[in-house]
Amino acid sequence: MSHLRIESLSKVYVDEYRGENVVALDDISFTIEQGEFVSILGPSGCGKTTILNIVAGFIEPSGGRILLGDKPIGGPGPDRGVVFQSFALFPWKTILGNVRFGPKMAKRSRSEQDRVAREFIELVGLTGFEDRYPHELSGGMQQRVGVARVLANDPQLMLMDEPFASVDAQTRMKLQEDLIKVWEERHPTIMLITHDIEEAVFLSDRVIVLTSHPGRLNRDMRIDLPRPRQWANLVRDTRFSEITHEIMGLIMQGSGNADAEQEQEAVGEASP
Amino acid sequence: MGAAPATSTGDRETGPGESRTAPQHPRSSLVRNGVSATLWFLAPFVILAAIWAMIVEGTGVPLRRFPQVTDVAMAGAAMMADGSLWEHLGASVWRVFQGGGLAILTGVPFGLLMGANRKVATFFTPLLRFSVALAGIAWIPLATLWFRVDGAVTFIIWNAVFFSLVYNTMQGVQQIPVDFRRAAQSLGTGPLRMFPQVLFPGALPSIVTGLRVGMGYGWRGLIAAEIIAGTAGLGYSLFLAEKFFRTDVIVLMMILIGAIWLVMDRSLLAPLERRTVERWGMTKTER
Repeated sequence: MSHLRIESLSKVYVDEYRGENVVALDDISFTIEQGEFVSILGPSGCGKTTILNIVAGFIEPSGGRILLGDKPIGGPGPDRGVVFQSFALFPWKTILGNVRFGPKMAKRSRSEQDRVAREFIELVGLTGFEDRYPHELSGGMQQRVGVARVLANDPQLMLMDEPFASVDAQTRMKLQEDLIKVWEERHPTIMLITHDIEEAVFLSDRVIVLTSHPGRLNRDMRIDLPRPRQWANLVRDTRFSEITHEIMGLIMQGSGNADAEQEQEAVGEASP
Repeated sequence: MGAAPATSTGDRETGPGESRTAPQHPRSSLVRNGVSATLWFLAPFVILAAIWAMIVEGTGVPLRRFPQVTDVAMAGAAMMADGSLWEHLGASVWRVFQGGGLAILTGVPFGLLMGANRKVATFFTPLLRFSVALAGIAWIPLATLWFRVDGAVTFIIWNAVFFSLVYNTMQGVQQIPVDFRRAAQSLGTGPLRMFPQVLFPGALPSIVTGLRVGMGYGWRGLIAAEIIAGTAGLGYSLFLAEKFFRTDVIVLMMILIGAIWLVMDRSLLAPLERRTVERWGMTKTER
């Protein structure tokens, strides 16, 4: 029994300007096991964020079924924590206040809220910053808070939407290594959305590659690189470059087809 | 999408152990800046008074048309001595706080509701626009019939502040980044707790701006209401003075009306607005 089971998921948008249906996701099925780290990878427009938004309960699918444990998911809930690209920390709350938010909503005692919050602030290496406000922290530090806030709520599934896309390259690599450490320590089940091939390969047990227009499942790859992983070791690792090159090929091929189709469409429209 | 918390995204990254703080000014220079800012703030008023004194002196205009600066000062001293100044001033300020307080209690919840629910907002928006045109002294006749004179003046202030608050609160809620709400939902916040936990604090900078603007309308409305339907207050005193050709009292009241507003705004409302915006990590230009 898989931890998360996605069956024949589809999403159709209505493009009101053109008055036609746009298929964002078409018949997506995959599973994620308990404690597994899975990345959804694809070019922009492949609907990968749509998958996250549906699993998080922010938007409704047009078809298909999602089971977490053995229960179908409904609207957003504390069993599925989300780490946002925009961080989405509450600017009116301190770091402690942000991380304490989930336990507070769960109506746990004040001392319990504080204990849990401090534990996870320490886990992401931000001890000493409890009383700061988010705007006083750098982007990288803010996203550490974003991770701590979700983990403090002990969700069954952690959803990460391009979490490191808005920080600079050096900080990103450090955050990726630290995320791996946190994952190896706690083994939360993670579904991460990214367009960064190396990030996906570096972090994940499995990488699910999507095609774009419409988003379809292209390949579900197991990443057999040994753990613990560090950038210093992987940059010269031949297996790492083989895997990233293979995925690069899949994505180029996928987007190449889409471009060809679009060109064809354009030609079709031009001729009367 | 201009997500408010991502203000530092483009800035240089700092690892843990390092963070960015505003440069600290030595205290003495803060005080010096404060004194000099106050002097500069007062300068145009001093010049205006000087010109006023010279013109009255030069033209010899009679007191029954326009007072000399010293006449106004003497009228002020006399009204302070017999206590009538404090009575009028107290009445006006008390009413403004009363009306403003009532407006906060009613306008903020209503604005939050409108901001949270697009259907509620769509339904009430035409009514809101209509009422904004009416807000203020057009209500005085009805308000006097309903609440007597004292209540009517408070009602006028409530009316003025209410609409400004409702509108700004609604806008504040609508401008909360969707990710804030989603984050809260995914952390277990139900629809009811969303109001105190996310919608109210998220809209607070906008609410405070609405309060400040609304109190400005309210203060003007108060003076008008007191002139038309007053028994005490700065506006009433202004109205009474006209009957006795007391131009010194009239000008004194005009000065007080402006000065008290400046004091309330600069010592109460503006700092409140600035502190909220700063603490939220936003600057005015970003919003």
